[in-house]
Amino acid sequence: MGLVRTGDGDAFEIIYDRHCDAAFSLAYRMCGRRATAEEVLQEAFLALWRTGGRYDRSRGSVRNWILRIVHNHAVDALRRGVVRERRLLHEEGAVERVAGSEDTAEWTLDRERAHEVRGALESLPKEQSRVLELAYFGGFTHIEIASMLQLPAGTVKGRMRLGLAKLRIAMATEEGIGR
Amino acid sequence: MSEERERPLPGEGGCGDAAIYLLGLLEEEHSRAFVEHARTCALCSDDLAALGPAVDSLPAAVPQVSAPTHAKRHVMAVVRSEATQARRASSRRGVQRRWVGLRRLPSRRSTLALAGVGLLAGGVAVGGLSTPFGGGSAGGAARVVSADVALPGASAMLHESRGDTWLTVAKMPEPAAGHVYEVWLKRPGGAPQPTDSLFAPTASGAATVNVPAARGAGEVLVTQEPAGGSRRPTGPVLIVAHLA
Repeated sequence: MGLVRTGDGDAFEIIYDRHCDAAFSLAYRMCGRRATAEEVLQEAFLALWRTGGRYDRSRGSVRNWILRIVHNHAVDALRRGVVRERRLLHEEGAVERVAGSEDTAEWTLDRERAHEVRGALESLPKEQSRVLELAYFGGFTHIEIASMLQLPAGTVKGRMRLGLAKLRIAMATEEGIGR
Repeated sequence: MSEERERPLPGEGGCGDAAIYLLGLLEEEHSRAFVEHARTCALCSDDLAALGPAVDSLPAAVPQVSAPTHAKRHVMAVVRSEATQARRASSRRGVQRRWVGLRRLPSRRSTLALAGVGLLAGGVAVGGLSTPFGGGSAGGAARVVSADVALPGASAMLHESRGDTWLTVAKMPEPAAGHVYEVWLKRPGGAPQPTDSLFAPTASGAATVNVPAARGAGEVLVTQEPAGGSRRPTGPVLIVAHLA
């Protein structure tokens, strides 16, 4: 990221190649449309290029930082109404990536990680995983979710906090099992 | 992001809001308030540390889909172009700094100094003229040509790299119903030749389109044509990029 900060396009290309699939996958899951996901991907990476200096290593990995940017742009797209009518979270058309020979090891790690996180999410009580999905992947505010589910906003906030705490514990358990 | 967002409840961004902060649900003002609060609140500080990794893990649950290759082409075209412009600007600033510095020299040295500056400035100008495509990408391989665009507010750039040529457009209006934009190649003295490149921009007016077999062409043109494209231009030329 240090080179990107100095305007090194080659360094940026390496970052792009390394994280574009994860970024596109998240955008596609959130927006539900390829064309919108492509726009989000492009906007997010150009924002990253222009603000590379803001990356703070102490706040996590480059991938997490990039995915936060992608998430923000996808929420923006949802709120602009580009895909406002899309109200169902779905995975239609999503195809599991076929591992390329050059990144098999990394892909295996990704798959294991995906398995762990999905397992942890599935282990949550339905009402907790539901509010997390609506908030994170659906781009809904807790107030919108409260209105949608006809619950007090405080209850929604509580479920989110509890869900995340359990998710953390469940993942730690899965990691322990995996080892 | 916030224009359509409902106003948060009074007091949001306070104690116990780590989860909604991490999920990005707080307005910027309330996010800042929460961050300030968490600096001095052990409970919220612990929550941030404990819940943050859970939020960061959520994208891993998403089925992985390969990003389209043309998206990379578009992003990297913009990146290369901006990197080139930044280097040029930096280089110009360097010349200006040297110029200012030399003007402060004692008068006895001024004549020699100004002669030196003249040579330096001349070198930069000649360099600029001799590399009309902007001096290449960060890797030295890309060329970028700014195109003339007849559509108000829209812009277009032609890019060449490693034998590939492609056009990127920004803020292009959608073509009329039942129409697409078509890319043409025009050789000196010849009529525009159609290519297979037909496109419609995204909702934000962006598009990246291949320009096949551009070598030897003098100009790349874009017109609006009926869906499926035309063999001869039927509408006015909207974009012209001069290759030579």
